[in-house]
Amino acid sequence: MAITETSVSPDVVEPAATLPPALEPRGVVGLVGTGDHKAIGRLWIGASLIFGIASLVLAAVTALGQRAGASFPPTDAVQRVFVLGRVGLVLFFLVPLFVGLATYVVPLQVGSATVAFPRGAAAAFWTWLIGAGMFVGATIANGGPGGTSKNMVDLSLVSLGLVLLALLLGAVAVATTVFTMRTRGMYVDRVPMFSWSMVVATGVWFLTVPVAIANLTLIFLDHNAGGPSKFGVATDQWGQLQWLFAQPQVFAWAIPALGVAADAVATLSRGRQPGRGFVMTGIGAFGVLAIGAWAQPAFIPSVYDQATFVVVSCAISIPVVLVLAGMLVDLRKGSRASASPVALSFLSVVLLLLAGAAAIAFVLKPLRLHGEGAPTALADLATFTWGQPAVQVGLTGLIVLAAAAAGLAGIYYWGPKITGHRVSDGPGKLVVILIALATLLYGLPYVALGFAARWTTIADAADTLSLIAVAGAALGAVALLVGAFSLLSSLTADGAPDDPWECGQTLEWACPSPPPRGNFGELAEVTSAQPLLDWRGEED
Amino acid sequence: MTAALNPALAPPPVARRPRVLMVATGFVTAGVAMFFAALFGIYLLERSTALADGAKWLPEGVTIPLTQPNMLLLTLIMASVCMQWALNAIRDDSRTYAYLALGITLLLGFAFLNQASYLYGVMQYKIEASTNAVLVYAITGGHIVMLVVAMVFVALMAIRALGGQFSSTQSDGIAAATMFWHANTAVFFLIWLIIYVTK
Repeated sequence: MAITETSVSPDVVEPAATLPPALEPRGVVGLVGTGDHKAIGRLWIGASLIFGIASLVLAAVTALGQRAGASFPPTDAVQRVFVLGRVGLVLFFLVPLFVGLATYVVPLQVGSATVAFPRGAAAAFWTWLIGAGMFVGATIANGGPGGTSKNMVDLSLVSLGLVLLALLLGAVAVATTVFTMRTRGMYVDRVPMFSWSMVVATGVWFLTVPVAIANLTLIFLDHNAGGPSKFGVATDQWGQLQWLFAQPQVFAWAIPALGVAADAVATLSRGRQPGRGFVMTGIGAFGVLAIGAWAQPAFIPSVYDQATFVVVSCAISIPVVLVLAGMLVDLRKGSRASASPVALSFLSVVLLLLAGAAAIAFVLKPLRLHGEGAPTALADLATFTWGQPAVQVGLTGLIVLAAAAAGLAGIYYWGPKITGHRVSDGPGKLVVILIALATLLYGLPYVALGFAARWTTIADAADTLSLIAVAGAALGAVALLVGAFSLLSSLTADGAPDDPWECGQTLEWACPSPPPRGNFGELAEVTSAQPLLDWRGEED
Repeated sequence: MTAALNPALAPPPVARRPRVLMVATGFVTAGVAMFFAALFGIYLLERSTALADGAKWLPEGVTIPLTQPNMLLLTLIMASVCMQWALNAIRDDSRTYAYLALGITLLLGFAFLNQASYLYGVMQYKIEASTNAVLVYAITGGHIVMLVVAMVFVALMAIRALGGQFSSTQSDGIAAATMFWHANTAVFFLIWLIIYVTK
């Protein structure tokens, strides 16, 4: 293969029409009223990074409070801090980050001038932001699942429902774009991996998130108007929602991570993807196995022992191996293998495999990771977080930070397209180290704590493990800060060309950085999954 | 290099958005189906557990009649038929019949809401009475919300149809509304079977 051109010939991509500057709304009106998918994507990304840093700080505070005799945070606040941290990591950071990246990138990848339902996509962001703000406020004011203030608990339940609905709305706009707004010749099997992963993720989220909304409806109704007789009882509320943050559902939030990783590695290895079918199958199979709405221990106490749960837990790593194999095959070209998006992509997939190993360990009965059959004190350590096994807390940490690595890979990979400037790769390498350390230090101590019911030496080291988790969460927050700083500092860097990597394969690299309103002009017909290579006349 | 295009074609043509509403409505309908599947699953689980423990499922003094639910189901089935009629009419460019069918559908929707409120009055079901009551109100209330959403959807599509946006070559919006309405009827059929018939 030889790179003969660094940009696509102008007779293949016609310039997009732009509105005269006077017609472009500016300031707050422009921000709030925008239906431009790029502006909406930037809003999602920025807000999710801020929430991510805050959530990791809360995760560190939770770990601090779990030490024996800890006076900070106050005992009555520990559960609220824990819940806020869990919800924040997944629903205020991880999912919005991917929805934001997708809102920005997916229309470009499929050659569309806009996202489907641009006003809906904007409404999704603002609804999510308002819902997230309401949830944070209500939880601080003694609400949140299990809180003691009736009105604030109700408000937090409603706001959590709003957040979930908004995320679904944002995701459906992206998936509909992929299904209905592809350019000529781009069949579904030719869409880039990130777009494909968002289709799979949206499908899985639509099959599972409404179940959580059903849970919330029951809790709200019982708590607000019922006795409460069962669902709304304060001590049982979090238990009905914890499946969202436990295996296998927690893997579902990370589905787009595989797409980001596959796209970044494929492009930066400068070749066509020979194992493309395997990677697509892997992402699809991962999505199917991650459907976890059925695994609700609050209603089926024996669910962890059921054959389906065991099989799913053991099998969920297989698709990840498929994707990793596809990425390794791509990398054999290895031209830009040292770039931080590649390193972050591989780190993400490897950490997902580690999470898969923890998921397998959880279902091995001799390890007693559910805390069963152990003395109360030890069982409490293994299941210390209000009935949620410590392994599941660690697993969520592993997956969130593994997927965050992919999210940051996306930021460094698509950064020039998002900001219009070159993003320095140096801080990216620091982020690789920070995220690797953060994931291991935050996730693994909780997984280890799960063994407390099996080995008393681990129970003795519980305080030390909590302190290690504090360090891990703090490092994770620093990694996100560095990632956000890289994006912001790039604004003073040189302008980026259409294809700053000089090896783009997919359509987002065929438009200016950042793309103008309308993104593309008239595009030539796509004839393969790597249209830019075709247009440059490159063979593999 | 593949087919190069005539530079004189800029600015770009308006993007075609085939079946955008249909695809999105498909996702939403799947989500709504999962919402009710979860509620039905919990309802059946709780009921079977209560009956297995020898407890009574319906609280004392609560009667669930069948006449009103039968009428409700019939109303929604008629509305579904009308909605399908509207879709077929728009596909045949029979605008008058399409407007008529959409109007009757909305009228039947209002009739359903009226009958449902009457049924709530007849049942005398106190929500604080039991787990059973919470589940029944969550399921039936959720369905009423779905019906209101479907009615708003149909009303919007009717306005667009009056504006001449739909025809035999473009019936996406009406088709999407029809799909959602049929899903609404299917959900109520399950409510009728699980809550009102088998009690």
